[in-house]
Amino acid sequence: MNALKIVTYASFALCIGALLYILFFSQSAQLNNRNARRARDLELFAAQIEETFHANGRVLPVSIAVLPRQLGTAADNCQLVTKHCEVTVAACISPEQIAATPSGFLSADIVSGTQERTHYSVQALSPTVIKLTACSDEIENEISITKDLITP
Amino acid sequence: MKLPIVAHIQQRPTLFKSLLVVLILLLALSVRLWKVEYVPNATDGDELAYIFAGQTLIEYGVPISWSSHEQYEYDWVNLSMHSEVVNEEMSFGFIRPWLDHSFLLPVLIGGWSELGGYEFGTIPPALWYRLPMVFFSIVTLSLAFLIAREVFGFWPAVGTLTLLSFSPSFIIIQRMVVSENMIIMFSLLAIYFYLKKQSLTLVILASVLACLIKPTGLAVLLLIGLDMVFTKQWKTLMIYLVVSVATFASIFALYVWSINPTDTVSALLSQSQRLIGWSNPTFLFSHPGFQNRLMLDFSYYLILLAGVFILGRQTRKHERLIALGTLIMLVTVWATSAEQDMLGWYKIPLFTFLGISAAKVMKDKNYVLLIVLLLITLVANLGLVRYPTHPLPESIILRSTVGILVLFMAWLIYNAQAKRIALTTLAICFIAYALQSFYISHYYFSATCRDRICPTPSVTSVQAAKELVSKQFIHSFQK
Repeated sequence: MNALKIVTYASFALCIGALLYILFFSQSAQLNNRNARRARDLELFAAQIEETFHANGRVLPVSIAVLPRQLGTAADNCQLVTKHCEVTVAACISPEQIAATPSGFLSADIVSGTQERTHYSVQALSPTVIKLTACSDEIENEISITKDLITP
Repeated sequence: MKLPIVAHIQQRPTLFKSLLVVLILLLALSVRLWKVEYVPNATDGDELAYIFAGQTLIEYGVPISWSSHEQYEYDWVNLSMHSEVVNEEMSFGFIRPWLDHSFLLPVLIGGWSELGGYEFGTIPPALWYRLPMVFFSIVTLSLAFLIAREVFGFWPAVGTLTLLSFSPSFIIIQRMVVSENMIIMFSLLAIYFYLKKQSLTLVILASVLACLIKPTGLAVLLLIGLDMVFTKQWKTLMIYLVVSVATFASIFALYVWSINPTDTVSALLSQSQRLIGWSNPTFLFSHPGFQNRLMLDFSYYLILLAGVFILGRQTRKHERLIALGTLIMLVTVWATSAEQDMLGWYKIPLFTFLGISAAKVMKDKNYVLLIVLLLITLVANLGLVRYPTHPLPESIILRSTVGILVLFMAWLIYNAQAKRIALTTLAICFIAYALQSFYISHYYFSATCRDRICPTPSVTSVQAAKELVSKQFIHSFQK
């Protein structure tokens, strides 16, 4: 009986402790993990765009232009203003437009919401150079990659 | 003349009884571990839902997983997973936040996966993620035994323990990462504390843990609360209900508030729209097994038929509590599952209670009933490991076996007063039932997957054991 009592108290303490730790005491590590995921997402998007670029005879998808645009599936309301991004174009760039072979991969959240939600923007710096940026108010140091699609 | 071992047993009955229970629990552990990675199917999607949610809650601070409910507004990403642990490529359409279930089981199983080095994006081997569930199953079986012993006495409780420990469908489902395996464990813990008149704090804590696994855990509050009503413990009832509900609600609210309250309400509403129906009990009892497919295991009906016996006659207060528990678990599954939706694990709490209730059959010395059901189980369950390529039994063999069985049962009915014969037969049947469960555990996967492609684990216990032995060998050789 004593063992059962100890197990019950310990289980409850562990349950509350784990919840509090996850919600309040590991936020810094979680933010780092989220940022690492964002960086990985950007790499994946860049690889998709590069593949499409070469499949199109070294021409960027027409939707990628000088003005940054948000990656997403929404038809409009894709304007975005965060610490590191300013998107003024209303239409999103859908995954079909940037992927030569649609993989279904799109990590952009399609609804606006809480602070940590991530959106991604893409812009053409030149006909062969693109810049992808992760957009979220919680990102302190800009997470972006600039990729020359001809010169590795 | 007595055998020396019998004399030994008679001198130390308590030690013998303890050893017997430990032996049954060890066998129960062994049969659950044997081929644990194969059945249920490795990397079952319903198990992975909890694992993904736990991994992401720990890593990113938000639960992300797949859902069977259409929640397009929370679509996150369609991800291909690293699924080298199984013979198929796996990808999931994820939603974020995933609020189909509470946080406790995801955190527990996700944390266990992270502990093994399996971060989000990588599917852990079934051999790894099912280990905690096997451990919890032994705790559940022990609690079922303790409650049955408290209510019905030692030997009937051994009957309960054996029935639950070696039922093939129970063995399989207790390996699986599903909420109900945890709900019943904490519910039994609360009931045991209540039966033993332990501090109300302990009853409350165990009840709250059951609720935190999944809101259907609230059934235990209903059970203990109703018993308090019928036994007129008004003050205790008020304290128990108010403190339990307030504690559960506060912890759940903290979680919900930190993730997203609006999304949670929306997810809960979506979850509550299951296709429930009047005929749920008919559907549930007509579909043996606890997975989302049929398993023609007669031990399912053995537990069901022996378990409902308690509703006919309760002589003590505690027996009424177990009978009430059986009814409440039936009502819970009736009210929460769908008429045409085979989520068999919803029945785990009900059948655990039926298993405990089955001790009443032994206590009332209705041995013939148990023997008849066990004999049918032993013969019928041979079909569980019959390969599709196996020929059907020749009619002469099948009919002779069934005929002999019927004759033996008839003889028992007419000689039921021969208590010694009945008890010996019952003991032999229980031993055969236990041994058969190992046979079924060993062959079930190959039997069911002979004519189809099943998810097959690439990380197996045999392989892990070999690696461990070879590492030990190399280590000792280097020394």
